[in-house]
Amino acid sequence: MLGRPFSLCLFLLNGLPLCGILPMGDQWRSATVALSNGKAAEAASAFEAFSSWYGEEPAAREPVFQEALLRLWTIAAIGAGQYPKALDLMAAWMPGRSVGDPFHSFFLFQQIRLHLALEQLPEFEDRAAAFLLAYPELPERCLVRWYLAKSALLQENRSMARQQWEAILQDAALPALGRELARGAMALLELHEGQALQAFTVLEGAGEHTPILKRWRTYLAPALTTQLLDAELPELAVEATSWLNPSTAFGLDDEILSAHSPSPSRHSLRNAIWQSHWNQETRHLGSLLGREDPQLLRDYGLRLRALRLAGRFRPVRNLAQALIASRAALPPDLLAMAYREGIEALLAEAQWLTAQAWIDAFIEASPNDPALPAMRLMAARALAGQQDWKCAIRGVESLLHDWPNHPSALTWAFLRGVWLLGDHQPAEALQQLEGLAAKAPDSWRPLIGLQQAKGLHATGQTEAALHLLQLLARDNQVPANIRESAALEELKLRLLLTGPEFDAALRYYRETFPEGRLAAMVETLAGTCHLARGEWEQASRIWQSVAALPIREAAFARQQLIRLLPQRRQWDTLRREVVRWLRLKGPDLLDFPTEALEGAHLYQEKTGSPALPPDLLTDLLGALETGRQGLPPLLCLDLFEGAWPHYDETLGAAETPFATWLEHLASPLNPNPRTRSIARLHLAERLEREGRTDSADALRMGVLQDEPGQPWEPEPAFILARTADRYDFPDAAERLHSFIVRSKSHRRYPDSLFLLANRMMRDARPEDARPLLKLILIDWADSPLALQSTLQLADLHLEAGQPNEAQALLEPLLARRDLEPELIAQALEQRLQAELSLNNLENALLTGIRLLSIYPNFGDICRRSVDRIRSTIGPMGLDPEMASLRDTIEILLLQLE
Amino acid sequence: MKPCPDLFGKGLLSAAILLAQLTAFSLEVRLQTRHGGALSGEILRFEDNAVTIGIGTAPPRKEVSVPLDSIQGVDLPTADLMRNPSRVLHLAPLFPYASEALRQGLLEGARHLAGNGLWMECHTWLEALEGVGFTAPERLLLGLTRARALHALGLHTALKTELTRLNGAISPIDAPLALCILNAEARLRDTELEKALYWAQLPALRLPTHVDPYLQDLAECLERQLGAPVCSSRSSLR
Repeated sequence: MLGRPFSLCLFLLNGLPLCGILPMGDQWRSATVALSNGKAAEAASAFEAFSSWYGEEPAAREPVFQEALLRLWTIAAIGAGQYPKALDLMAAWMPGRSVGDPFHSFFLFQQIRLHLALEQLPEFEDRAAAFLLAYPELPERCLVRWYLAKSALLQENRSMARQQWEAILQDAALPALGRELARGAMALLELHEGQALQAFTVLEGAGEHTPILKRWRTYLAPALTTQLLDAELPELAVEATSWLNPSTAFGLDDEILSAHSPSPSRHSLRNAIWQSHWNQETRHLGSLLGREDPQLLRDYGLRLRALRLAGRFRPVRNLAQALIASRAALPPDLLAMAYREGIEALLAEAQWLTAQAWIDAFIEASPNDPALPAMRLMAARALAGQQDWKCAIRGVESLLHDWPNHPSALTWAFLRGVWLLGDHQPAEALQQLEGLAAKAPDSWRPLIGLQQAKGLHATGQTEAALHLLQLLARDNQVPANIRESAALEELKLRLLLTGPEFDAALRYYRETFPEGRLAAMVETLAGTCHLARGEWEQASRIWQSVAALPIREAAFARQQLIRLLPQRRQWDTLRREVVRWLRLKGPDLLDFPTEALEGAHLYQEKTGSPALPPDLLTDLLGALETGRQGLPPLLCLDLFEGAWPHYDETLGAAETPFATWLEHLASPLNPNPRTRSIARLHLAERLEREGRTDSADALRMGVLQDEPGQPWEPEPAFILARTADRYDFPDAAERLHSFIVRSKSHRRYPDSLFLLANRMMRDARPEDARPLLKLILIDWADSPLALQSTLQLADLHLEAGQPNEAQALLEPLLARRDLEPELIAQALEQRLQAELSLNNLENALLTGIRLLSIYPNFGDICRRSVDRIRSTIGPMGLDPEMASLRDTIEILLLQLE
Repeated sequence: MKPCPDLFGKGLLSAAILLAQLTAFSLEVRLQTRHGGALSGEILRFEDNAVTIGIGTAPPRKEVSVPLDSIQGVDLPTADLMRNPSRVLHLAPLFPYASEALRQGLLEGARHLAGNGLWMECHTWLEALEGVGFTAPERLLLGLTRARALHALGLHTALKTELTRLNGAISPIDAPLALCILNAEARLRDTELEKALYWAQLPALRLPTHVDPYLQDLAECLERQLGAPVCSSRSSLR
């Protein structure tokens, strides 16, 4: 390589004895041998000695030799870490070399690296730009860009860094695994920048599952999830939590990156450069990540929280349940967290009773857990969710009593105020809220103010409430969400007052919150206002616009439309809305909502025209055959019947009367068990309407016996459960229970609760009957069954020796004026019993007199009551007044006889 | 091979049974006794808590009866046994004394039969392993294999019992995928949709997540049947 000049100098200088230095040829040889043996520092000092002693020799100044000396010395200096010296040597080597000359690209690349290592950034950028311009075809352009990105980071120029990473990621010359490392580095940069969405996009990739990407995902998932949740992107956060892996120990594995360079030879210089880069970057990025141990608690916490915030409550419940069932294998903190998240999900799903059961289970399992206050608060919230305000208030009061200085005490006191409002105790609520407003931090005041306004309205101070709401809604210092809520509350009050101010308030809301989160609710209020004023067209227009939106309020608006349009006899619009509703698809939408089908049925009844186009009709039949959640099958058959001459062909029964088609469906020859049973149930309903109850029940029992395990939609499920209960089928309780669990919002829900409660009482299980009856009173107080449930519950309380509870139930009942006399008589009998138990003898006697004098027609009740009085209050030892009352009762009884 | 004297002369059927049993026992066995002795020979019969083995190939060969409770270790060629797995039940009395190699061989046998879908043979094989002292992970593996066999054979009541046992032995958070699938299917069969959904969702919920396409489809179908919270009449009016 060195050629003739080297041989010449060896020839000339061979064997010259010099003190401290070898002869010229030997000195040169010792330097090159040291370099080739990888002893860079030794080689560098040998080259330096050679230059110092023989540098001016004519042989050494010969250009070819000089080039070799500078080149080899530079390599030795780089290897020895003498970067400034190496840069000087390269500066001396460069003049006269041009693009494409041997070693030019190599030294240009080395200059870039060394300037960056010495943080000489202007020189670095100059050399990097020169390299990219001169050698755009070399794969090392990726490394140069990588260095440029790092330099940009050093200068805190993050946009430049991002630009460079993007260029790297798009560069085909980058080895695949290197690209994964670049991707991780870029995601890390985005996370540092707080750009969670970009970081997620970089990490998500397009179905790539390389080990490095998986590791990046695992390492970055906790920070990424937290940022995504903060950015209110819970769906993406759920995806990010699926990358968590608590069992992965920390470490970016160097081995993964080995042998990934553009060079086919593992021992080439190019390979060494790339490997050195990967090693260095792996270490560097690893150090940036921070060395956290896998954290089971943190990872599961993030997963549960992300799922809950994304509204995936059932998965939260299932995961929490699995964690609780695995308590032996998990740290105790994780158990508390699983309970907390599970209960939060249950509360969000309004499953109050199950939430309470979970809370009780937690308190029983961990009575001294630090999470106890949080759990007890959840219990109170569960009670509030059931509108059991008194118990909820008691719960929060006990929290305030037990932990008066708890950091959450302010929240508890606030909730007490809110729940007092719910419990129709506005004066106490106002007192609580005013006390709170005086001592709470400023940030709390708007929130408290909002509730105070509700309290003021409830105490009849509507003008004051409106004033406060207006102040809140128009104060720019108040957080936007509270301002918007205040504007909504103001509209609600204005709606009640039905004054012209409603329009002004509505205009203000629309102008101030054009993209408001409560806009749909406000528009619903506007629709209601127009309806109240008889402005049908406006109301209908507003509801049509809300109904088309993919939001919760849309369901309400659609229901309103389905009710409003028939009143206005706008049959064509009704049909259009119904068809539009039935065509809506979405994760939260039922395929065939009952209200829409009812609307279609009504349309057919009124116009005699078919409501459904053929495609929907075919879909409906398919849904009927396969069984679809929420589909009311009997109503579907009613719908078919309503316009049968138009539908028969589409339903594959051309020229066949509906009754024949139905009987054909109900026959044992029909291979589809679902439609067979539905047809039988429909026939049973027809028979019942004709008064042939026994025949109807026989058909229903046939269905029960034929397909015992078939899962049913709510309506037939209830009919079958009722039949099973009536005829004491062994699975009657199970069927009723299953209906209760699955059909909480169905109109037959209270009936099923009542039937099951009665069954429980027949089976001598009053403790199981009581919560069922209570549920009717809480959730379905307006149901006709609520009265009977109250009496039965009072009866159970009396049997259990709880006369106070019985009285608390009976008093509001007896204060009502719309009751049947028999019900009043029964209630009086129970009150008498309670008074006797409490030893309020005078009250008992007065109740007895009321019963006997006003309701003598109910002889059995009267006689039973008198027997109770006789057995408890003997004639002897009474004071004269009581004795007189007792005598009155005896006289009344004689009259009755 | 000397026939069993107590069965000799009881007609053709007895002879057939005898022959079958003898065939079953024509296996080389190596026994290690508690006293340090080592015996190698062909199994002839089991009687009175003892095994009789024939030593040597040419007649007259020597018969030795070894009480089972004096055995410390047993080795058998499980590869031969796998060719005719039904013989395994006859050899079950020896398995509690199985050497490590035999234990591994028996485990491998169960895996092999399950892997080839020979569920009836696999079930018989697992029945014979009842008395063997396996480690907890091995017991879990065998339990799962048994559950899969019961599922494949349609023995649902037994499957439910086995699943109850397995669910008690391992936390749901560590339950293998196969156990989740079996639990989900068993619950689905009993129309316990909530519980079926619990098992179907579990692998995709816990960490590290595992997405199984079959379970994913099942979970989606179940969620649909159970119904997501929807804005139905009453709840939306509240």
